[in-house]
Amino acid sequence: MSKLSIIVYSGTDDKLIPVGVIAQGAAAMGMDVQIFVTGWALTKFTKKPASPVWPKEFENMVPLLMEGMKKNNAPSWVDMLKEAKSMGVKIYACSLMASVMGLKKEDFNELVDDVVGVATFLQNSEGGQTLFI
Amino acid sequence: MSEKEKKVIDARGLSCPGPITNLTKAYRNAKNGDVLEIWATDPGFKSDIKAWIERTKNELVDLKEDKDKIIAVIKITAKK
Repeated sequence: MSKLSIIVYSGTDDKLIPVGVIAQGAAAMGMDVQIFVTGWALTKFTKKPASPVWPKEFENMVPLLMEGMKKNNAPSWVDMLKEAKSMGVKIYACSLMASVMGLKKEDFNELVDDVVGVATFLQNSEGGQTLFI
Repeated sequence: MSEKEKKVIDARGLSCPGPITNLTKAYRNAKNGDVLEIWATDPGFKSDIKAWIERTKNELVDLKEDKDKIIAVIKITAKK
């Protein structure tokens, strides 16, 4: 089975939308998918996730984006990840960055399967494609 | 193929990757010989269904577009 690994670093919601789309789409294509959440993105996977954050240069386009998502019946990135997980996608939080931010396993929400180190991620991703978002 | 095994998956109004997701869910419960017909309005579906077929090695029996939807007919042949 072909494999896809996604490193999710960005904590802005515009970049989390393609994470949801690609993860769900790859799972639907029968790929073995793992997501490694690190950096600023960790703040979006906690039990009290950070409010939506948008890049400054596109802030004035956010209403258009949100309206378009609604009009196209597109689910939120969280719902896309939930759908992806129902098809077997695994989501891991980076242990180093979690510690740096003072986050323990119990601080993460139900999207996160486990807190793992980079060796686990590299071992799981070997021989497949990797995206950095 | 018996007509009673044909199943329609109505994915109209769903954005990418909703139609392919619903197809995959139906595929899980399908058997070889089953025929699935998917209705979609997402403009990416026409190329996505070909990619799905290429990956899963099932058979695309028909792919057409009528006034308000894309219709793909698939025969399940690659279940192990």
